Amino acid sequence: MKDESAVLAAASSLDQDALAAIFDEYAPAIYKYLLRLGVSSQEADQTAGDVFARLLDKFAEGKGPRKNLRSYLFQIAYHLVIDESREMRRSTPLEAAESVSEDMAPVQSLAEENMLLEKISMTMERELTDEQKNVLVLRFQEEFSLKETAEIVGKNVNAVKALQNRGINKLREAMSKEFGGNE
Amino acid sequence: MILSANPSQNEIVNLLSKLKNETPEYPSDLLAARKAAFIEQAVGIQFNGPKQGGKGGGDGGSSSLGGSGGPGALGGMSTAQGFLLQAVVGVWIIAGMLTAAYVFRDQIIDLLQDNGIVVEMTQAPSIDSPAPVMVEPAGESPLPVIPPTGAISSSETPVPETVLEEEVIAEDSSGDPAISENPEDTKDNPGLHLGQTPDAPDTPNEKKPDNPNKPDQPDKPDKKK
Repeated sequence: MKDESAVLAAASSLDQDALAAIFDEYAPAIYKYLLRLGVSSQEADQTAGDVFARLLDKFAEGKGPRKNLRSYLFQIAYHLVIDESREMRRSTPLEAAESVSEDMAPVQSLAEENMLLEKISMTMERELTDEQKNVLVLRFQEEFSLKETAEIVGKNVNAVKALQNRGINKLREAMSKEFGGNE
Repeated sequence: MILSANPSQNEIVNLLSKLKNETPEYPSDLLAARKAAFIEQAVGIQFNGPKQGGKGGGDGGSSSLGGSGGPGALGGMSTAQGFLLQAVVGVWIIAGMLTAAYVFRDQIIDLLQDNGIVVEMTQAPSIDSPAPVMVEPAGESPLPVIPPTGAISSSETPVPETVLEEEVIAEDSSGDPAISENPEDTKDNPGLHLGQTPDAPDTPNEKKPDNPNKPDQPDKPDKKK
């Protein structure tokens, strides 16, 4: 986006062109991020709408970001997913949650590499905690820096590093159990 | 790509990075609808002000695709304002209904009676007796005269003179000789007053009759034995 601060200044006064530009730039990325976190496509669409609605409310209140809009939007999306996840844990029985988890696998392919990707995606869903999964997605798929990731998840950089290392080690163990015997 | 038996961290990171390309795109129809809803919400906020509460605003915006505004449907109106508006509208409706019922009361009664519903009406009681009228006396009562301070006037009410008892006795005895102050003692009148009548003398060796209603009592043992 060209001159993000100018666009943000216009958007904070609810300029429609600026708001449309922000939506075009970030809505697809937010949607993909939500899918990578294991959210279904329908929920991802709705949550993406919630993210931008909340941004609009902040602008209307005279608040909202003055810089680094991308991190700000991902932060809103992250918190919405966490809230939704907690709500789902309270209301969904275990069997239903398991079936939802199966449906959430975003990648379906027939090639060998794609099988690996599908396997690691499902392993992320099953083995990692929400925080570990979020940190890995933000760091290696959305390519946020450690500092940005720490801002989004509301932790310090060292805590993010620890979550990242624990997540990767869990994935290593799970994948070696799955594929190590075939080698 | 074949994963090693004991994959390194880099292999896992590479796999995670490749997952990025596998994520499906935002469907264009959903994206366009969501963008239209977002712009519509922005226009609504410009006219109505900010919505109260993040979740309400979010729900209102996100569910606008389905046509329902949800909790954010009242726009920028606060809860107190909404409650006040509802109260005013409610009172206005009730007042309108009562007014219409009063204006068309005859028609309503006729309608009810036509449908066989008996309407009992209580008439207001008529007051036949007039209100009592205070009749003032013809003569005006004179205002009390307040004597000036310091001038003590003697009362005109005559003070009864003290009459000596001896004079009264003398007048009575002279007027009616049959009545005497000190009646003579006679045998019939020993000079006793009412209540001082002497008892009849006890008759010796005379037993009083037993109370016939008194229950028989067993003989008490003689203590002196």
